[in-house]
Amino acid sequence: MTESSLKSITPDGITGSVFVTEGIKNSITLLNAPMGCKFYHSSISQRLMPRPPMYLPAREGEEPSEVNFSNLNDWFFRQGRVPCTWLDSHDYVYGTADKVREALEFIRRNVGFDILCIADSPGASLIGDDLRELCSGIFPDKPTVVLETPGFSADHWDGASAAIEALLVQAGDRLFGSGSGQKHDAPTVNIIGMSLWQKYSEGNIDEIKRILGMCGIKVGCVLCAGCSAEELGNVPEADLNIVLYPEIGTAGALYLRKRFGTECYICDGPPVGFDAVSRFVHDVCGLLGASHEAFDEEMARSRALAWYRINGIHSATGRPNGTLFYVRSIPSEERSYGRFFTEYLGMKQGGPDDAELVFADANTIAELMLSRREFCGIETANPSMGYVDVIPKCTLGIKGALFLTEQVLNGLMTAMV
Amino acid sequence: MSENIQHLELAVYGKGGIGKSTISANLTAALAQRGLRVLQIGCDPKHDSTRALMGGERIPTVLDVLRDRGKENAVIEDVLRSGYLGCGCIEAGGPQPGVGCAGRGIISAFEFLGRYSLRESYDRVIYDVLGDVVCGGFAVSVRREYADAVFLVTSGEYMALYAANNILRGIRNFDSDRYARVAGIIYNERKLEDEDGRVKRFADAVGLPVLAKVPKSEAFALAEEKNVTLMQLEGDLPEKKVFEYLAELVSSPLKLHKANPLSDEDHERIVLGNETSLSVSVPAPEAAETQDAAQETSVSGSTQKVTRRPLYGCAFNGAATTAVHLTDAVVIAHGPKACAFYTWQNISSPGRRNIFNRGVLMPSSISPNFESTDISHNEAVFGGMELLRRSVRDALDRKPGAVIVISTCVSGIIGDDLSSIEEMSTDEVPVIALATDGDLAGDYMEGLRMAQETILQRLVDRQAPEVPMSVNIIGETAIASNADSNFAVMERLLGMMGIRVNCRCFGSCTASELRGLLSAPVNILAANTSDALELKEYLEKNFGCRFLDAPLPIGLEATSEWLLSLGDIFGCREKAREIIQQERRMYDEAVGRAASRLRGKRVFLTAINARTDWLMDTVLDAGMEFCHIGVLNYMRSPLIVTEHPDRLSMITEITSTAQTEELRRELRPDIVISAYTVPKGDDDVVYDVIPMLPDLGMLSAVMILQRWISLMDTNRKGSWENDRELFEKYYS
Repeated sequence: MTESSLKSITPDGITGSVFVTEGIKNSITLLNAPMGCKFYHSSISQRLMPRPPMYLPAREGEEPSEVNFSNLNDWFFRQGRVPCTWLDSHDYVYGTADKVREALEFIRRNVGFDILCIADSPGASLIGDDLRELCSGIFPDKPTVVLETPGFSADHWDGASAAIEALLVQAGDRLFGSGSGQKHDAPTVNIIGMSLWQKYSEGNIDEIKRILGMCGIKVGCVLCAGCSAEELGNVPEADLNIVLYPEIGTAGALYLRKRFGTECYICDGPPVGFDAVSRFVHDVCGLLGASHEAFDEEMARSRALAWYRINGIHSATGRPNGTLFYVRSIPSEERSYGRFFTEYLGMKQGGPDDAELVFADANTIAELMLSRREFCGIETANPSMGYVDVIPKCTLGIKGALFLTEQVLNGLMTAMV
Repeated sequence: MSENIQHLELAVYGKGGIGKSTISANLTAALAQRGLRVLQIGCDPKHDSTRALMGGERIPTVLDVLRDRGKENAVIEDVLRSGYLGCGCIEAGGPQPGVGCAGRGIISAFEFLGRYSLRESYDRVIYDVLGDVVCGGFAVSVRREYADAVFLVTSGEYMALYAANNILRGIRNFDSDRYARVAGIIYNERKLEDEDGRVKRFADAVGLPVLAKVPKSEAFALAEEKNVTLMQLEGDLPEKKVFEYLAELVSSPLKLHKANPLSDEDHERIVLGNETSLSVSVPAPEAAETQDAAQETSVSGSTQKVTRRPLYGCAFNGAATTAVHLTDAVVIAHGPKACAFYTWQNISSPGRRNIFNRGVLMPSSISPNFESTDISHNEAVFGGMELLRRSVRDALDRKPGAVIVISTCVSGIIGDDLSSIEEMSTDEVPVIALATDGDLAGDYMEGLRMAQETILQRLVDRQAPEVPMSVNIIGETAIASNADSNFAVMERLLGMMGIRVNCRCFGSCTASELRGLLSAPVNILAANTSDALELKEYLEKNFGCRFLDAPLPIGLEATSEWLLSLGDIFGCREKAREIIQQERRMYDEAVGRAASRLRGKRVFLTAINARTDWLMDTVLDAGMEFCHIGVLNYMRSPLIVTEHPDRLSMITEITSTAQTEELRRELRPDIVISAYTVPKGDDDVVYDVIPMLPDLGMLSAVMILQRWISLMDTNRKGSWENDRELFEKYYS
């Protein structure tokens, strides 16, 4: 089966990078880019992580100024995050340094932040301005990162990986100095390779912390996915760096191993499904000498519950065994989902044109709906249809396995008792 | 690194053809003969910097390897070669002349080399850099993270000295007045009249020493013939002494100078000296520095406020969002996937939301006829025309109504010639190029206009036969979530009149429908928005199109007038009256039902300065009253909010929402409806927002009244609104 019926266009490296740097609390990402590159990132960043807007030109209750170009030109352009330098034809000829300098001065005067990132758009990256020098001149004491190469048409996870590595390399000296320098009482790990862009990232992080916590393992920092500058400062103190999504986290973990000697555990794919989650937890406990007894107990109870629900459907319909599924996501996640669905649920890998259950982003699901309706689309990646998640949901860990089981059972197209 | 030798990186800069590569290679050879480990990196797309060191062998360039093997698979051994006496040789490489972006290529080559701790393992690194500081990419090696010292190679030719001065400007832009990194001038003699004098005057004026004079000599040609450096030739040649001296110089601590470039006027006056009628006055270096420091302000703009008008969105996005509404066309974004992704999201967002909220499939929104050439790093460096031609060929094979190609910033900057792609048009399928070049052609609206006008000029058949009793609808906002339902309402009313829609111009139409645009005797504007009005003016002026006075109608009165106007034009006024009566009955029944709940309610309205009679009429018809009608009129333009003169006395112009809030608290209305989201008060008031794009037809406002009734039952302030402090506590 081919993917010929699908042509929806997916995000590329710059989007992957921006959602990594936006994943740091109290960070600011300045896009050195035309305004056309800004609106999407500003809008989505605000949605992906609950937090107040970074900057508003006219706050509620304050009197807004008369609309004119000067007060609109505040670099944020009436959006709460991700300011941009609104590059125009002049900048492409004469360089972007003037704009970047002025924007940085504005940020210095008006916005409090812990970490600053400047990300070049594909067009800006052709100009070759030395923004690192400029940036460090204006913010000599702040951790700063300049992403000069956005990855032309590269996959978004490549951009995310490059941004994490650049953050550690460029801002590491200023960040790591802020750590307490004390070893922890409990074994401590960092999680690398998660990003705000992933569906349910908030719930997945909570779940990973929870299941490791059941084993007495503390998560020090989830790099660039809701972490603070202080947590980043403590990164070198961890006993182990865990890479959940190898495409995104491996380069950063290897850098940390080279610089600090911290060992890393690199998952082949994120822990999706009961077996993968057990293997993940047992491996990590083995490396840290932690006990997974409490985890095993909950795992067993959860598997029991899942069995009851699956068995109810299976005894009446014979499903979900043999059901065709199709997953479209980051490659390691496709592998993890695939194993869970085939090995645990007994389902069968299909393609976009014949699968009964399609796990993908909303664009893919919507596009397939145009050609056929006999399938259930289950959103497991962004962009979304527009559903607002208030309760954090997860697809990783024990709860994630139960949630996906629930999605499969409710998504089956055959009648159920 | 050799013992006791401090690592040093040197950039050798000068005008193209001035002899940088020869000087770099001989310096490398001389240093190698002194026992130093030297790495020479050629930073010129013609990649012949290291040829003499390699005995005439052309080595693979970094950019060729990155293109052919991919950055994941490329390794340093692919590009690093060992030359004369073990010196390291690397060529950055670049595209063919006239295509791609060589500057970006240099950046990428340096990023690749940066993955390895290569430079640190040599005592000296020599960058042989293309003639002038032509763009930021070529200046990468001058960044302080690379070059510790810069050597300027020049002859006494005017343009060579001009280039040397430009290079100083480039260095000045990097270093301002903070750093001293220029070692001096290497004078490559051409044997011109007064050449020594010119070089000396320039050197004195910019405050730099002439470190060495390389004499014009046949020995260089002889070495070139033998594919070696001059330093490798047999015999005690006097020219060797120059490079031995330079090698000795860079083997010891170097005295470095700040870059003090001259203004163009001073440069000409000083360099040409007595050859001009101007008096020769060589300023002291301090004077030059002062003068150029002032000039620097305008170059680097450290204190200059950017005053240009911001471009909202980009022309590429505006053009793409317009072009996709030619439903049988293939629209190709020529750029990186990122650009197409933002546009795809823009177009598909209402489609996804409609599936989720209403189970409605909007094909044009869900799966727009939009593709991307996915320009990769290779095309950014080497040019993307071949990739674009392949994409267009592939699109033509599918026999679409048209192929529309739109350029992004990247394809514009690398100079891909979009207009030449139109030559691929076939008899059946036109290929239309929209050279928006991202936002280089302007903002979103400018791109939208470019797309509309170019496509119309290319497609519309000026000889199309008239189709009686037909109209075109012009300028719909087709990505609005109610675009299709609004069209259905209008199509139904037109159908009742016996009128068919010939073409939804840039709403949703095929290339063939657009070709036949002029078949319809009458055109109807979708709305009186500024962009639609501009399109109307364009069609009137360029195609002689005739327009109905009123746009697609909103509300009872406007719809009635509109139907009567159509009746007059098409000779079916009686039919129009019948339809109005029929529709009016439906309206009266609906308003009557609403009035039973809403009569007597006091409405506080804040509108933008656009006709809002459709809402005011229905509010009054339902027995409600206005306690305030405010119009946000920031631009203080003439009021057009109502066409009823008697209502004008009720209207207050406002320029501040704070002013409105105060009034609202004082007047205590039952219903607040505004053109913006109003912060709710501590009362049981119904709050609603005037839709940006209201539903069309007689029932537009009736649906809003029905929503108010629903809100009256449910729109009490929830206690959740008191939890803002908690959010700020836990999520700030």
